[in-house]
Amino acid sequence: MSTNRDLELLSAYADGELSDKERLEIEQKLKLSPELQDELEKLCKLKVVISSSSRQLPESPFFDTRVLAAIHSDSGKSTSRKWIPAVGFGVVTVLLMFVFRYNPDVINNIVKEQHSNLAGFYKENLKPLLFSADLTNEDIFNFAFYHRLPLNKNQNQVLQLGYSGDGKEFFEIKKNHTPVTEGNYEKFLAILNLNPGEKRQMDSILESYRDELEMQILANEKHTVAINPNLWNYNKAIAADLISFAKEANMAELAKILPADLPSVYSPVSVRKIVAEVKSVKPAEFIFITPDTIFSDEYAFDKQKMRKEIKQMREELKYAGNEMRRNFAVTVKVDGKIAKMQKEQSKNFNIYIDSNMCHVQLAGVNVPTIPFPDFKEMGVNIEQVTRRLEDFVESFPRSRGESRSFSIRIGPDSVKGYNFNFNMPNLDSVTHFVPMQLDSMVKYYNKSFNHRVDKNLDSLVSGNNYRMKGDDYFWQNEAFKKQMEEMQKEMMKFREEMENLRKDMKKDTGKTQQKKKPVEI
Amino acid sequence: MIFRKKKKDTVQVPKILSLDDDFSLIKRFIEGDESAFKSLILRHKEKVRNIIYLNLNSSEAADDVAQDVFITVYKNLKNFRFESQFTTWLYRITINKCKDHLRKVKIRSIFSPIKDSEEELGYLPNHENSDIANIVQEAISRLPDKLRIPLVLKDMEGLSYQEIAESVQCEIGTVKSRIFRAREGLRNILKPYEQELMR
Repeated sequence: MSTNRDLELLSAYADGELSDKERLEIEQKLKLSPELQDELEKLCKLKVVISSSSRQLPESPFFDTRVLAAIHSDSGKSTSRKWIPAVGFGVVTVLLMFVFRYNPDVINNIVKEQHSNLAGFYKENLKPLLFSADLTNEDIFNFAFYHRLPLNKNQNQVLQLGYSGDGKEFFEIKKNHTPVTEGNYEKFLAILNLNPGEKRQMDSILESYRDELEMQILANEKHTVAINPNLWNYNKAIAADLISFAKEANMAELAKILPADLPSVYSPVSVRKIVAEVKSVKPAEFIFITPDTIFSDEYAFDKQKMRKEIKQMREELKYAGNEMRRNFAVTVKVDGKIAKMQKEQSKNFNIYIDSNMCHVQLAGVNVPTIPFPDFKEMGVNIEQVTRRLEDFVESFPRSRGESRSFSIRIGPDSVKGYNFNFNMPNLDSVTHFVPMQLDSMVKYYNKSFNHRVDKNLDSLVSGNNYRMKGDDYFWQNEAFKKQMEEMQKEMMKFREEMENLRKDMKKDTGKTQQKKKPVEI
Repeated sequence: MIFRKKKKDTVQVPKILSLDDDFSLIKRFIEGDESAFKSLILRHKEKVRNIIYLNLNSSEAADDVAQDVFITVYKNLKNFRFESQFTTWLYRITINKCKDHLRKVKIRSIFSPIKDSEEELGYLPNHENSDIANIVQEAISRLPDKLRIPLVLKDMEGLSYQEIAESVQCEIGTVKSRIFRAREGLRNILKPYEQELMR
């Protein structure tokens, strides 16, 4: 049996490459092993096959000439040239090391620069957007009390401002929204019963905010809309200004809609100061809504220059008509790429998007502070005014609660009667947001009484439902809470009275054992 | 069949140098005679080209690599120390250039895995048994570089184990082992053709 070493020796033996000692060793083994002899024969044949398969390249007659030419052309070049790439990389590496050592923020700066380049792209050629929406006094009035401004009147696109539950500002860009009841401003004037001179004064107050408001929302042809966070302050300031003037003009009529404890901040002097403060805020940080992203960035402009521009554009518009107005119209696309941001919440904004609305909460962006006591709290009073105002300006009077009376008499001859005065709370938001609760409530009433309260509730639901489509939920949380509390109180009262009724009935049946007769209601 | 060990080539500078000797040509080149280098090329170009061709199995690359070999020789010849034969040094450079080329080809193949069909074309064998020669060449090309190079240098170019060891820069024992393993590998690859080849 031949080993691997024997075979290796045999291979070298066939090549004639063994030392004398090794050669003698393998020759001894060869004599004794036919297997090794056979192996050697195969090995020799293989060597022959290999050498015979060797191919030769045809001669290359000009090879030497080419080599010498290459040598001479190569000798002209500096040998250092081939090191150029390596040296280049080395130098770049060293430079980068130095740059990162002494300026570690270089990458951040580059990113910032790119960001500002992108921001610069979207910030180009911004014009007052509201100019295209052509604000009327009615629009400004609605902005003051309903916190809504038209962005594109043709497409019914609006900007709605508001405050979330935790008091942080948000805005919404909505299309196909439910229109606000028309003529709110006219009705407001009617309530106040102002004389023509006072009306003109009121008009001029609203008009004085027109240019200012137009400068708070800018847009360009790249579908960028820039919103000045100072808009929230304008919202309060205009409302305060209107309330203040109305208070002075006709306090008696206004008392109907004013909260009894209206703070002194609404005095003309205070309001004038507030308005001046709000107007004096220099435009700095704007919120940009673009087809790709939402970001906040510095944007300053010369107010005087912008005002002149607006004046000039308005003149041009007079002659150009609708065609030009259409050219200025910008629609915010809330259902495009921006929808991707819904998942990637930026640190400055919390964004919620559906097919018709883009809801953006300001998380890291601050509304300019107005250094005036009670300015923050003014929103609550304005809210109360708005709610009371609704009773007057809505197309139908809004009841403050459906009054229900029940009287129960036990037996035809019984002198004992029970009169329930049940005040049904206003269920606007309840009907819209918690119809299920309402259903169960209706069932409860039906079970207890033979009285069809559900019919009335239905009418409540259908009557008030349209008011709740999206627009009123600015007040939703607070209003809902109040209405529920109101309802809870009424229910407690109702339960107590029922309890008394039951007790009395038991007493009566125990004493007289009269025939059972149906209870008349 | 008895195989006698070949008489080992002695490495020493001849006392009287004829004009054609490698050493005398090198000396002339060092002294500034550029034509001596041309003579060196003419003396060794075919051997160098063939070693490259057999190792790379590519006629196209052979001339380019051979040219590169002689350029390297030209640049370094002034430092030649006359301690070993010129051919040993020349073959070492040749083998190294072959290895460099194969390395480059491997790297390129990573980036372009689809082979160019023309790259496979080589010279047709120059004898009657063209089929067998092709099969054997194909089988040799499948061997790994470290086995193929010593085998080619031994069985095709007729270099001694000592010369091969110096060319590929390893021990003679390693050369012996690699040539044995190369033959074993080749026999395995050629097993389907054993009857035909061993007739």
